[in-house]
Amino acid sequence: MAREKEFFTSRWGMILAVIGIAVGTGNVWRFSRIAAQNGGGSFLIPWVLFLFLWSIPLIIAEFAIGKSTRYGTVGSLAKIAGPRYGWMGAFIGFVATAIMFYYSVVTGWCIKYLSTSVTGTLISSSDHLSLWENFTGSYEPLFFHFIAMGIGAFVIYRGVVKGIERTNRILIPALLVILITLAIRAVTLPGAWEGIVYLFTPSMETLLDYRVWLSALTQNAWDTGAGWGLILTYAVYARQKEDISLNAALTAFSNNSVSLLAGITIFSTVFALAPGEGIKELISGQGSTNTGLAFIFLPQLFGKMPGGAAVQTFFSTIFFLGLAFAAMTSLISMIELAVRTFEDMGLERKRSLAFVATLGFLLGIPSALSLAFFENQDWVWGIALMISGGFISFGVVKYGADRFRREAINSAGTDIQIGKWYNTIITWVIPAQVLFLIGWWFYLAITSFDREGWWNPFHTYSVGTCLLQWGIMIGLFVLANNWMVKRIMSREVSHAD
Amino acid sequence: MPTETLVTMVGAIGIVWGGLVIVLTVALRKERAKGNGGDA
Repeated sequence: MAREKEFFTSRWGMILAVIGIAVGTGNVWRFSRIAAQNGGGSFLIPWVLFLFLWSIPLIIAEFAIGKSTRYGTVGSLAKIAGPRYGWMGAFIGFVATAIMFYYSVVTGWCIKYLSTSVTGTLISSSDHLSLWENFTGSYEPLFFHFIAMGIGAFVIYRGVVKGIERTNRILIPALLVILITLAIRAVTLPGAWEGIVYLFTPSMETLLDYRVWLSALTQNAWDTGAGWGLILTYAVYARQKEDISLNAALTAFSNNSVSLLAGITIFSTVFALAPGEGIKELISGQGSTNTGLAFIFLPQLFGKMPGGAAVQTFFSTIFFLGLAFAAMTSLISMIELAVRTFEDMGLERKRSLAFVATLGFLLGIPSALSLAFFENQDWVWGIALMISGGFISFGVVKYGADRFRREAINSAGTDIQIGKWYNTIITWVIPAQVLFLIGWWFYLAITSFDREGWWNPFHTYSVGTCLLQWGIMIGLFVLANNWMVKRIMSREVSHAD
Repeated sequence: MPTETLVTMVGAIGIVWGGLVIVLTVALRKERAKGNGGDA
């Protein structure tokens, strides 16, 4: 079945690329804020548990589906669940692509702040909130969105080995060096220890709070890249003898290790440079919840770092360099997913890339120009990722969980055999987590985010907006199912000939 | 430092970073045993 001409050249090349998917901006800004909001140590306990109950099982499934079918999301779901279910794969692919539209904008923000740091403007600024609001309120984000999409498209244009693999071979180790450098500086600041103690101190009260558990599960669902269809897409280019289970564990542990390192760095910095008020700022923050930490609060703290302007500029520059690297490696995988899907349907790779990059830039424009639109898209497609995870689980169950485990996971070349426990997790535990998560987020929308207008499809954080946008896309994909699947499968016949 | 903080710190770091070290070591050994040749 191996139809692809290009494969990752080694296990490490592929692992670094997959870590590039998993490690994104969410590891840095979202993890720290959510950990602070949910009691530090109390959050870490379920967060570690859900690594095994959500992230690793879904990453294993994605690796196995991509490697065994050699198709992107549409073709692979049609292969394992049956031709009637190609629309599920299209939905999985679209969710990641819809995220790509605004994630390119986020990547652009990181590039902008990197340039502002290098020139010293960021450190010399006395009002970071105004700096952020002036930037996001201008047309400048559009320019940086264009740059981000352009760089991402260029990497994909270079191909799997010369583009994706080579870029990640450079950016991921560089990101790790940057994070370790920042962590060493942060933990050696006077007063940093208080932050570390806060991060690791649990309380029985918060540990028994179901909201802390759901926050930990959400964090695993959003920041490991499990269930997005991205790892599945990269696995299409895995060598035939490539292991699945050990690589999945390596990806998940690497991702959570980076989160923990970033958490230690941010908690140390906040407690050392903003004692007393820092933790309140970390929990509530200014500006858009997660972005406020990175683009408003942390720049303020860099300006308080001991050692003068040169040291402050150095550390703010490497921070935003690391953030830009983390964002770019994830963005690349989202572009590749969309390109792969159109390629499967018969579009030549370069044309597919031109189409995806143009569409990505155009459909990212509203998010670049309006934070309200950006937040709506983040809300709608962020929750839709849970459905994507559910569809992957459905595909495996439809194929036969035990058959999938024996044929696709424990295939030739695997280093670790996965036991029958996997059948239970993928059949029951993953779907249960999907239902709990979607139910919880909708419950929050109804009772907290938008009590009056939770049903209104034109409100930013409403249930109505999710149901409308998901409904439109699912309806379109169900209608186009036969056409999509036939196009993909007819190519398989012609290849076999 | 309170005992529960120490236990959580050792537990979280041990499982996440310790887990990474273990899987990385196993992967390195397996890769060495397989040899470095590609099959593409």
